[in-house]
Amino acid sequence: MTHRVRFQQSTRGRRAVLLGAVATTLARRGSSQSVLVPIRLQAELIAKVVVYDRNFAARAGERTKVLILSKASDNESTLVATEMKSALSAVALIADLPHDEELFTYTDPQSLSELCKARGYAIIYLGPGFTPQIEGIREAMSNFDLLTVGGVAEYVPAGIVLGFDLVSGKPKLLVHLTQARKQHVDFRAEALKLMRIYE
Amino acid sequence: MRRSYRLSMLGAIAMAVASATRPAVGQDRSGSDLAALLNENVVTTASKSAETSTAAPGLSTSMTAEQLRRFGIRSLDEAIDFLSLGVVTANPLRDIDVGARGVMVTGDHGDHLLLLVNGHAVNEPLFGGAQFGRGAAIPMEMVDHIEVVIGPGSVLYGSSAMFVVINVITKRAQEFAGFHVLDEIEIGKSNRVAAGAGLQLGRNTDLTLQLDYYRQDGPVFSIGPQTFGVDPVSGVGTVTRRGGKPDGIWGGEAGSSYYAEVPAGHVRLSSGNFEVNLHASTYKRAAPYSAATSPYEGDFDAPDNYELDRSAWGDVRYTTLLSPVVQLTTRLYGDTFDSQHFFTESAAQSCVYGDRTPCLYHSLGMSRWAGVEVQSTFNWFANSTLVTLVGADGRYLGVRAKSDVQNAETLAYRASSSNIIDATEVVVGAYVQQTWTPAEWLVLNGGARIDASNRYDAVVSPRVASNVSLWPMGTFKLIYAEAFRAPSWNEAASQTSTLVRADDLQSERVRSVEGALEQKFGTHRLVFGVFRSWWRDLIELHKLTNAEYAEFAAAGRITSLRDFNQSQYRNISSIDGYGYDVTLEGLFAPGRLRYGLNGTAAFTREPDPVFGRSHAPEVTPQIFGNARISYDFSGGYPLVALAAQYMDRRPAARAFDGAFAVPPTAPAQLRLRLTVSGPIPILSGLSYRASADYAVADRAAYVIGRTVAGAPADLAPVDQFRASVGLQYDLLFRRETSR
Repeated sequence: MTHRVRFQQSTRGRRAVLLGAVATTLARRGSSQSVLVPIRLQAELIAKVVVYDRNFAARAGERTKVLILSKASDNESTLVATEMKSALSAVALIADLPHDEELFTYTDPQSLSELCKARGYAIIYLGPGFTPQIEGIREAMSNFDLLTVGGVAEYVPAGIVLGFDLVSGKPKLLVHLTQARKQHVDFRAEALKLMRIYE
Repeated sequence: MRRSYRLSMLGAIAMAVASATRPAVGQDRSGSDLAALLNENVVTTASKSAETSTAAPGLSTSMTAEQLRRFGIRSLDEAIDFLSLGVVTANPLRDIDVGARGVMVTGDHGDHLLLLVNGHAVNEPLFGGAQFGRGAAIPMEMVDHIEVVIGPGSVLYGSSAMFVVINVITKRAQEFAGFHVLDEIEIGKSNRVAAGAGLQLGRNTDLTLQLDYYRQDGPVFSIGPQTFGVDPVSGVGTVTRRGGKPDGIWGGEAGSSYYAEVPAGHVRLSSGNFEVNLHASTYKRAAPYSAATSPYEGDFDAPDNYELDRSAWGDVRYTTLLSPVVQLTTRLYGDTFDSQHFFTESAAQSCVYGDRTPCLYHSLGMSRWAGVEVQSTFNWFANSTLVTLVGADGRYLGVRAKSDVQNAETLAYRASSSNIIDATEVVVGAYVQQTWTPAEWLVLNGGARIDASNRYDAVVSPRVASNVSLWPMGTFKLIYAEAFRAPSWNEAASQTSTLVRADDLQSERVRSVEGALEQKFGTHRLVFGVFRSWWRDLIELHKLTNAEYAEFAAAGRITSLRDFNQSQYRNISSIDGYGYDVTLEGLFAPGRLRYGLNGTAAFTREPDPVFGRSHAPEVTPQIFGNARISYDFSGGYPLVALAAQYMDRRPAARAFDGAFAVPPTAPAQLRLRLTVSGPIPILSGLSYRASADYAVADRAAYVIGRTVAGAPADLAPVDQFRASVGLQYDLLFRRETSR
């Protein structure tokens, strides 16, 4: 096993402002597999949207644990994972809870399952580069009570619960309802009406 | 007094509406906090990287595809007028003039602002310009959004980015999925048909394309009549129409000379790290009067007096991350542009070649250029707190131009070609930009670009900006920037019977300092900005004095000694200005009700030795803005949208050229547009859009025809009422459930 896990306490009390949503994605229009929404903005959206998940508080417990996946030998994946960790660290609270972010270099679904069982994550974030592995990750996570979030829009139709897209220069939230039910994610109607829904 | 009252009112209205919007506090699970985040604009133009507009080092407007459809926008100039902040256009019935913040250079071919399509600079080097009306040939259905960044932008983009940088970004295949056909008719005036497609060609490859054909005929305008009087060459009345009587009367019903034709196509292919853009268009147009900036009129209502532009360009971009820290983008591009102008004159005084057959004046200009831009981003800590952007752009270009006079009947040449330009140029630019986020509440951005050519002195364009956010949902921006415009080849090298070739023409410069306060209240956003700008070395036609004429004549630099009205392009003009911008926009009822308000008040002055004192620049209003509101009834019911644009009273073009005792001004203009759109239930994928426009004032800020001492100015007409209806059919849709 070559994966590595790093732990870091989030810094509480930092100002959660949008100002920091500076260049974090490739400055190209990008194909469907690119991360288009700036990572800081994604982090803000994650922190906001989980409030609308009826099961989130029970899932997270006293502290929100976030696992951020990256792929070995994939520069964009590594960069996005590092950026997301930094961006989430700057968010004061996620669903009114303190939070920890961990980086994990993905190898296979089984290792990911074992890690999830051991650590009890509430959120798993996937950066770019996972398209060939999405099916395996979706199946592995189906039995878990957690929210999978993809930085790439294409992941959501393939079974990642929540994702981000950029349309007309504005961020969009995408949700896969069928997979959300399997993972006990239950968004309120107030949030669902703002999302592009896949089933 | 009236001005200060209007200034106060503009600000007061914006503040009052802002205070009426209740701030969203805390996480109330109403969705408003989420909606506010989803309403953020992500822009890429101001710093060549993706960032929220709040964080961008500039004041920008982002006009979405939804807005373009909602408000019946059919061209760039309409988008600017009805949706943008700080920028305004003027329509002389031919090439659109564009200005910003109280500055507009009439007849400048749009060369004081930079137009980008997917990051590709469209401005050509012969005139330095780009089209902003229908001639821009932008396939509007394919547009994802349009970013408008106000203020000097040469720091990253080089020449022409003086007023504003406009970046048109087209859709990905996912957002343009399927096949689309449409027909939009402007009743009795124009028709546009278009067909497009967005295709996913495998996991990593998508293709979007659209073909457009636009044809406009009319409306019929009543021009003049003006008395041109006796032709000094023929000794009888001036002939003003082809085959017309020598009655010395110019004007009447212009039923044949106001038309345009624009076939165009755009293709965007994205595959992995590659992106390819191809664009081709032609733009043929005619107007019922000759030129907005000169008193020389050709034959009246002559359909053969027209201009024809042809352009094609291609752009290949490759972006890769060499490591988590280093990103490299390489862009290869090539463009070709040519422009022809056909102009028939039957007046004997305008065609002195020993017979009485009319003259056909034909000018041709063309330019070709190709280049490569290499850009690298260093995200030093892989968390965007310290990012360095360095880039270099080199291009090689060639320009050619000539003018001929032909017998309009036989097409035989009447003289050797004149105004011949045949030259090449190498232009290189290098830029660096450093972004530093030392704290969550502070973003600093500084950079500079140097541009050099074998034709003009090297120019450095710096920019420093800071974004400070010391309170919730509020940001203050402070920006200092400089920009330049290199003299176009037309200005630098043209030489005609009335134009002496310019001497050592240098770049125009602008410096600007501005501050902007942005405050969000849930899904509402208020921006208030102030600016101060200094424009120097502006290029203008200088009419030679008698002493200068004698000097140039002695040096053999005047082509035709028959004409004593000789001019020369020189760096002689300057403009100072200050003012403020206001934006208020937002949405209610989860996006069903949307509104927006943009306003700009400027006080700009240019010294004018000919007129004898400083005055406001011609054509551009000092107070202008737009407002919009729309409601989506959904459920198969129509989406109703109302947009308005206001321009204050403004001096007409040629108002200060000495021919008028009282400079003519155009009346304040209010344009209204009501648009209704929605699906047609009988067939899935079929939709309609209908709109009606009304302009309150019937005259524009352009003097037409000749100026006669003591006579009032004849101002160009405005097409006051327009109605259009369009049908669109979209075949194939995305997979998501629509809610």
